[in-house]
Amino acid sequence: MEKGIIEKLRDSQLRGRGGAGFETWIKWKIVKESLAEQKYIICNGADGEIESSKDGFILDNYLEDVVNGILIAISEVGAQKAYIFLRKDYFDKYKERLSVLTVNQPIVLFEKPEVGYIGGEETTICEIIEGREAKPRLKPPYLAENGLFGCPTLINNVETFYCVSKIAQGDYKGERFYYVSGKVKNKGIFVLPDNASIRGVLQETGNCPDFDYFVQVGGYFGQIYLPDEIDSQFSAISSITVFDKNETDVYCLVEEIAEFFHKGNCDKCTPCREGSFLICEMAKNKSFDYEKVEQIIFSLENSSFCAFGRNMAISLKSIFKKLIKNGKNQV
Amino acid sequence: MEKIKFKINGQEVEGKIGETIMSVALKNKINILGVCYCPDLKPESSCRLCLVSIANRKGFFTSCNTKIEQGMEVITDSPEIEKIKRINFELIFSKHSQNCFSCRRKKYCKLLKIARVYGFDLKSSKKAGLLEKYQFGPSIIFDPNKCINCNNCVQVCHNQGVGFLETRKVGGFSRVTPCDSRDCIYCGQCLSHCPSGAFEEVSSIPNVEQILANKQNYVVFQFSSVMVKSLKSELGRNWDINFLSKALKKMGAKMIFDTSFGVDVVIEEESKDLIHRLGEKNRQCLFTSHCPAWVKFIEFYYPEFISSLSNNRSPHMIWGGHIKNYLTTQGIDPAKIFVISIAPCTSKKYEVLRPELETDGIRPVDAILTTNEVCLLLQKLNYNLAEIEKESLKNVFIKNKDAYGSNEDIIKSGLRAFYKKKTGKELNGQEFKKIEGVENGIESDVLIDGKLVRVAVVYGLLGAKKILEILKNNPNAYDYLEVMACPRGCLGGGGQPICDDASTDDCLIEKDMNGYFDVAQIAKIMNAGLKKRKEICKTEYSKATKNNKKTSTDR
Repeated sequence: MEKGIIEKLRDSQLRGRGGAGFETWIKWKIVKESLAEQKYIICNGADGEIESSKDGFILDNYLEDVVNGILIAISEVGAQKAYIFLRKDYFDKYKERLSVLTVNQPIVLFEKPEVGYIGGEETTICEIIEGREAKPRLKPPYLAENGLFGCPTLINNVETFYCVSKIAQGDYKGERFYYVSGKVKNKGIFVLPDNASIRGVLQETGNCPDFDYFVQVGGYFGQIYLPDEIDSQFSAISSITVFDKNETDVYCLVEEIAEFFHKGNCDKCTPCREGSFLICEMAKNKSFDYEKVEQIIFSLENSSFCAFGRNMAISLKSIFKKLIKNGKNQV
Repeated sequence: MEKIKFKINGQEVEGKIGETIMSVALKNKINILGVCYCPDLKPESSCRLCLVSIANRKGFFTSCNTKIEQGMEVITDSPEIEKIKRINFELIFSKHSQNCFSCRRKKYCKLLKIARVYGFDLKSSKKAGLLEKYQFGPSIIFDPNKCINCNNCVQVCHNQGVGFLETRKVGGFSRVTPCDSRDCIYCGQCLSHCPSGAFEEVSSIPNVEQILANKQNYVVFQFSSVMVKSLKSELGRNWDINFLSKALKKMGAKMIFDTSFGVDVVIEEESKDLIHRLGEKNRQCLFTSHCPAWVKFIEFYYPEFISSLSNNRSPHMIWGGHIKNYLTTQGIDPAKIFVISIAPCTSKKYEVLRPELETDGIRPVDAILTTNEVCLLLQKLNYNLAEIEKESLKNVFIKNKDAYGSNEDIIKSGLRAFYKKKTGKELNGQEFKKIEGVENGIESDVLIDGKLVRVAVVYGLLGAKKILEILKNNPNAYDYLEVMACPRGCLGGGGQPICDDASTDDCLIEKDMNGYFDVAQIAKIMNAGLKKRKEICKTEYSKATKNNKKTSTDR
């Protein structure tokens, strides 16, 4: 007997491509086994990082696979309705093709409102679809148990649904999409093995720098890695940004990242709302109060409501630790 | 229901399923310092100060939204918790324009309390007055420079079914802003629920002082006895109704009335209206119109129900009309008569300016002082307490036995009056029961001459909206509906002094009031009013739009 899709997902070891890296098959199993009458699927195409357009690349080239992945999910978990949640430019660009592909299917296109990065966080997406303010919910309950309109909800990223389709067709080769940018020769999106090292990706794509550099992995929320840290295998790398160590003004780097956090957070929690702003202001004034920065990061780690604040802490902590050691500008 | 037992700081405590750590802690007088928590709102959990740790669980938890569990061990203090609290407090305070001395909140300000406990010196990193203040009609001022983004006002405004306040992201920060397409009903719940004092009433104190300064003026005060106890908690034990009346006399008041006399008239009129309505073929539920915020709510958001509203004015307006009418018949120049109402309400500031409530071009009431403003005004007095004590109680008219202690009392009295008119008998022991699914709603059925009269009383517009929806589907679901826009009734009005979460009971009415009044004098006033009853008591309400603010210019 042929294996069910959930078994195939488990065998493939596919982890969600949205960033959190949760094992996909477990999420599907929870929603499938729920006895609720009403269930929902959400395909997350919010793709919040400004520069990255990985999801756009997939929508451009593999739209049928994404829709196919969603349809597989609908029948597997027994959902009545699926939403494809897309950021504005994707929505405008793909709505016509998508409406042809989803004709007579219980799939609804949903345009992400102008709410910043937080509008791509999974519980926030539910709030938005339900017509409320774009603010995250308290977890638990997890969406798989109690999600959209209080029903079990399976939410996966665009790339994950693409992979599901490939796995169902037996076409999945354990690969993922990498977005390489920054000071590189060949900027763009590449398909390489899932467990590549950072150096491996840079080499394979012809982007190994011949200057003193550091990289940030995973966009604005990602950590900084120095050249001697990039050889180990990483899982869930989605983007690599290469910086020239000698040319990069760390104040500008922090300003850019902190401003993104300041504008993209939902303004609910004190440390996120005020902390990102203060760090951004310090960077603009080219003077860091290191004690204050340490305090803000500590509070973000320990008192944030959602992962936005905690991930912000990871990013800022690695910048300050690796690039601005001991209060001195190392760059 | 099964109790959940657990520990806070080693102390055994218990609570119900679904309760939060914060709520159980407050009941047990365990103080968890937080800023944004309001017992009657869904926790916003925005300040991130009420953190606790729980044995065998990683990380910290905000006590306001963490549900209690059997056997959990909660710790409210540790060096890490204090560290985070300090950081987050500083972050909050850094954006708050610290106009603490003039702030309406200062007595019960949680921010100041935390500053004291943790030994912070107050210094603002932000200059005050950078952002422009908003004024909502003649009632409420919002100063965004004091806002700490807790979102309580937006939530309570939404709960009220008004949705006038919303957040908008401006330059990286979410700001509370009034919505263009909706309008404020001036209930003042934003004010009661704002932890940082960003909302306050538009002050009538200068106006009242000016009226009192002119010794040619004949100034009359009226107040609802409901607010007296909160005066005590603000000003001290001396301040009962008598003492307040004496102080007002000292300030120059010629006469002082309990607004309950106006309630008597309203009840008389309303029971007539109810009898009339019940006799109609397509009978409509009669809505009371005592609460100006409720009236505006109907006019703006549910105009299809305007014809349900009683065409009676509210008690203090009716009594103001009676006073002015009577004094005019006594030969006093109407232009020199001033009636000032003291009320727990911000919406009345708007009500007194409504042109359709004038009688012969004269406003029945000239100014509203909220309970909070009265406290401020009295604190400015230069008299010592012994001097006030000497003042006589002549021309002070306070009901004792029959004073209305709560809004519920009013509708019960209305029902009794109505019953007596219809049957000639007394109605006793009428009990109200909770309406399932309607917040702060109670109902009662009265059988009168074989006819069932259904009565509902609702506090807060969240519940009132549900009754309106019920009436849309079944216009005969109720015959008589009393609504007060504020969820805790007038006691929880926007003009009340702000109390601690734990001490809200302090605002309850004084039970042992010493009242007295000259019955003959009240009868004279009532009788003088009989000839002009319609002009004094009735009005027409109409559909309101944003541009039609319904406030005439000051006289």
